Amino acid sequence: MSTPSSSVFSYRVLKLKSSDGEIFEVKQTVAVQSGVLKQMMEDGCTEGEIPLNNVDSPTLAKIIEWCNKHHDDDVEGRVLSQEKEKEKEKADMKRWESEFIDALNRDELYFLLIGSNYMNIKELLDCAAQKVAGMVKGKTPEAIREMFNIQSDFTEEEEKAIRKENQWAFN
Amino acid sequence: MNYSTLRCYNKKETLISDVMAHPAYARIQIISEIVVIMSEFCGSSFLVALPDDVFAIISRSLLPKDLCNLSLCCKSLCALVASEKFWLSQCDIVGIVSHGDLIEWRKGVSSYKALCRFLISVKPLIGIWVHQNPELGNVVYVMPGFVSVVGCRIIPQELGPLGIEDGPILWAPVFEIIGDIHGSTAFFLHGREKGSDHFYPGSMKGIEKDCNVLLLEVNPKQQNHKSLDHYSEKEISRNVCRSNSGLSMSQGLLGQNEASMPFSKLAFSDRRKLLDIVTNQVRLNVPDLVSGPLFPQLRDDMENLQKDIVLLLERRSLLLQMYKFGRDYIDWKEGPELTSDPTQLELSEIRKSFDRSSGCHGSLNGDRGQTQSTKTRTLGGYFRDSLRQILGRSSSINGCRSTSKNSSSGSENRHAQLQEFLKSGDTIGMTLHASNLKLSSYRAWPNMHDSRFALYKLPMRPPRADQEYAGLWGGTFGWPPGKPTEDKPGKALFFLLLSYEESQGQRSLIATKILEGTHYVLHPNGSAMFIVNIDEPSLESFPWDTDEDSLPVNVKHAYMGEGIANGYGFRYPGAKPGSLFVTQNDLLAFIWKESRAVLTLQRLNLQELLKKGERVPALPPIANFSYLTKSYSNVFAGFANTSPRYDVNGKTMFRTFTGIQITVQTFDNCCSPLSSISYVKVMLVAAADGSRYRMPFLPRIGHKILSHRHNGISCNLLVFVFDTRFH
Repeated sequence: MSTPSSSVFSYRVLKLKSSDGEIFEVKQTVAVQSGVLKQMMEDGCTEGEIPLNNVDSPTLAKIIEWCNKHHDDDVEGRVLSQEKEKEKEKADMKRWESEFIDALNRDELYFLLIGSNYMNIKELLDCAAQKVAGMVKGKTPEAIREMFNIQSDFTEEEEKAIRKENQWAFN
Repeated sequence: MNYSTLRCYNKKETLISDVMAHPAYARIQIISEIVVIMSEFCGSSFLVALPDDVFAIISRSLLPKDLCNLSLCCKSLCALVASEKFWLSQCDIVGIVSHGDLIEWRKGVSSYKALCRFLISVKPLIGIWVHQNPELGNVVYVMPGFVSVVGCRIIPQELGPLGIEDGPILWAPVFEIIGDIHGSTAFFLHGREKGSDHFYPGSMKGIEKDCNVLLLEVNPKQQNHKSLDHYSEKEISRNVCRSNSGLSMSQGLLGQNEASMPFSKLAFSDRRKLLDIVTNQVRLNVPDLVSGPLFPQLRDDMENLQKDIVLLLERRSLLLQMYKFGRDYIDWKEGPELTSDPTQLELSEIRKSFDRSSGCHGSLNGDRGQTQSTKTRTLGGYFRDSLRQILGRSSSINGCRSTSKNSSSGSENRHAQLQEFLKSGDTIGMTLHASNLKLSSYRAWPNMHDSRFALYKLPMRPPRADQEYAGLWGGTFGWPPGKPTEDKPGKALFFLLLSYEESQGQRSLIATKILEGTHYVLHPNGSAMFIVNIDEPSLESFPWDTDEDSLPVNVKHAYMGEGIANGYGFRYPGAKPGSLFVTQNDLLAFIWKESRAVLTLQRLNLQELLKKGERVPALPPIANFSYLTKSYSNVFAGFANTSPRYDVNGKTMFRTFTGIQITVQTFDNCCSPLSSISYVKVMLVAAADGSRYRMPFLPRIGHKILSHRHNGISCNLLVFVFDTRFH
């Protein structure tokens, strides 16, 4: 399987259609971050609209924002000369990523997880998953319930039994 | 690629109905067969509704306790978190067992969650444990077995004819900690008494995450009320009261689980006696089926590996049966309870303990079958027999209340301490306590108590960019490295732990001797064989051009340093200059400048070596755990052969006569000369058949071949005569 050269990629645009019917135009160099779209490009079936039935338009907009930020600048010829500059760029990107993720509300985060998983964008998926893990990590069941607005449906005895069974994990 | 393959995540119907049932659900939009939930929904659905593989990614960033907290939130999360695959990845994260092994180990437990519980609890034990005695080295490597961790002692030994990699390394089992079906631990001490192997079951007393000392202890335990009902309570209290009027049963029942007087505070002789008594009482014979293997052998074909696994599974379930029911549980094969089904197991346990309880009335008198568990024995029984010997005048001491710091006699105080210790429970059992103690160390070697039944963990750091030689190395004196040659058989195998230390701006690499395969020790255990300054390159040239395969030797680095040398007595070795060379193929060679002696080392993968090693019999249980007698010879090699190069018919044995250890070996075809020995006092020899032989002359240091005749049979003895200066 041969990968079309990037110079061919950069001028072409993909038309992505969200589940609610909105069309988004994305450069191939950006879209290549999605494993699914990359595969389609390699298979040469990106003509016309590409329906993304599991991603609604607000989520798709977010995903494209992420991809635009992350797409490889080197393709356009900008080369980072200094090691230091690279480090700085990395730190800036980290900050941007956490701001991006933190700005999402619970629903947006959920759909972003679903969307990035569906489109197979590993970095975004990892980043969003980290965010959810951070919401759970080190929290008591009470705090998790509050965070996710969960009503406990255990009886006191059931809860006690689970606590007892799980005691080992807290030693 | 066809678009139709691009399906959305297949949401289960139940999932959607969950969401629909949720009060927060707003609307569901259906676009051409694909359901997209566009609700303002929150609640547990957020986590529950995520595709499994997304939740798996999230769960990898969580700790087991986070998963457990999630399962406490609500029923749907509880069900989600119970999924096997999340716990499999938690097992992976623990990182002590390969993914493939985890799948095999799963066959022995009820779930990956149970397995994870076991792995997390035993992880701190994995690594190298040592003791100062005997000086040749006391190395116990704790490594994964099969749903277990196994403590293996590396025997001080000579290098076999095949070299380190291909010749089997000799080891003896010290202990095993087996995970039961629920992932809790069962402890077995190994030992050999009167010519046969035994197990000594006990329990784990907590494993601290940063443990650095493994303590073999005896601890009193409070039976819970339920199991107490099995016995006649009156009978126990009568027994207890008979020995000690100050101790009443009700007092004991109210008492806390932890002994108010810790085992470690007891006098050494009391501790030893307690351990003696308990090991005597809990001793289990080893049926053929459970004699081995303790872990899978190193195999390259799947078929034999699977055979190993079947054997290991069988052995483990038998061991766990023995752990629960004791050795007189023989009829297990006949009964329908032989099954891996945990509920069946429990049923049979209950049945068995009922059998026990009905049979035990009136048989409290030292009958081993009296208790439902082999791990603990009622104190009532003990007071009747063994303990009375220790306690002696105990009945004259009125409980612990008479104990006070003003106690006039030390021995009285000692008795009181023992009383205090024993009254905190109604059964006692052996425990292994992995604890963290404040330890000082000198040159990467911990300073050890000589009266504790303990093993000490060697801090082992993985190699990293600026500490690339850190870790365990093994080798022998001489160049070329590896296999012994025809004219020089039996090179002593050395194990060294390399670590880095920084002081006053100088970074040094320290090679601590932890095992020495000589017949008689050359340097103290834990001494630095060499120390080099890694910031100071050596200008010395490497004296050899080729290695064992006649290939040219390329030296990558050379560092200046000092190697161990005879100094002021055994305990205080001196040091002489030398250089450490690192060759292209990552061998280390330290060369003493003056003597041109060379110690050649290679990195060791101990786990792999043990998996293709050769198991030899263990010592009696307590000495097998921790050998507290000062010794300069190979106390672990009391088995058939110290070195595989001797004929299998050869026999070695060690006898101690007034503190002097003498080796006698029936001589077969080869022998190795002894060096660095200059003085001897007494010569008494024990032959392999148990007869004694007095040397007709005071022999010179070294080895001798003597003809010895006893009961009409004559044999040739290879006699090693040792330096006795240090005894």
